[in-house]
Amino acid sequence: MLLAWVCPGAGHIFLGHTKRGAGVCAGVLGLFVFGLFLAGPTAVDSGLFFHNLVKRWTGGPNTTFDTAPEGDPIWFAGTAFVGPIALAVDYHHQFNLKQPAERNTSGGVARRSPRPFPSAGPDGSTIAPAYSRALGRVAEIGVLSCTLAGMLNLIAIIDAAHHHRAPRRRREGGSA
Amino acid sequence: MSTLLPALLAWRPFLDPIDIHTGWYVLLVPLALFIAIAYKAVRTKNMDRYYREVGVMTVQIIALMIGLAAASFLIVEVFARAAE
Repeated sequence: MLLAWVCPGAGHIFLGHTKRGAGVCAGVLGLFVFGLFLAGPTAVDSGLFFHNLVKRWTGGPNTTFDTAPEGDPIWFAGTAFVGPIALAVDYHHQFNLKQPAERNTSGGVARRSPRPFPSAGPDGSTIAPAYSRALGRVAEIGVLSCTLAGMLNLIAIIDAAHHHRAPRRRREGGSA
Repeated sequence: MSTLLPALLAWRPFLDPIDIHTGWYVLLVPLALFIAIAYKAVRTKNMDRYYREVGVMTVQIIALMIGLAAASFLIVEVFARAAE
């Protein structure tokens, strides 16, 4: 089950069902990459909800929390089943692509997506924003695609947990 | 083309969203195909018929979506207007 989560299809391949595993891998990763291709990083946006959940459990009473109000934690809960690749994309989105905007009530920083137009650099050159936030139908379909990838991988994880190891093929004409 | 070219040149894959807001319904086709690939890999009993079943499921999803769109259109635009 863990293998099936770490890499979609790896659970089936480990059990000897190579073709099934390849199909799951192609379908799940295909949907995930398709969603990212359509909507960009907007398709995977936890809004730091799960990051703060872990911080709340492990941190002390004076812990400050960064927030990202534009995020979609409910949709991300489905996307997280794609595996560590989804968590890595979300981490990159939250901490490398979003920018600190204003102070929030916990003393942390609210991180927001950059403004969608070029800004002037210190030497007068124009700097493009780190990314453009998707809106409308494209954003909807991108998020839907990534979450569907996670849900389909959840089906594959459950299926891998109930599958038995595939019997090895006998050599033709030989004994077992 | 003159308005499309600057947008294409400025577009950065995986960072900027695709400008396909007018033809978004075309995206249903790859979406249905990927869903069928992953779902049939798990559910197919005989993997020799895998590709055929993926094709059938893709067509089924697209046909059902078109049917649902047509039904929604009829309810909203015909029956609801007739009841006004």
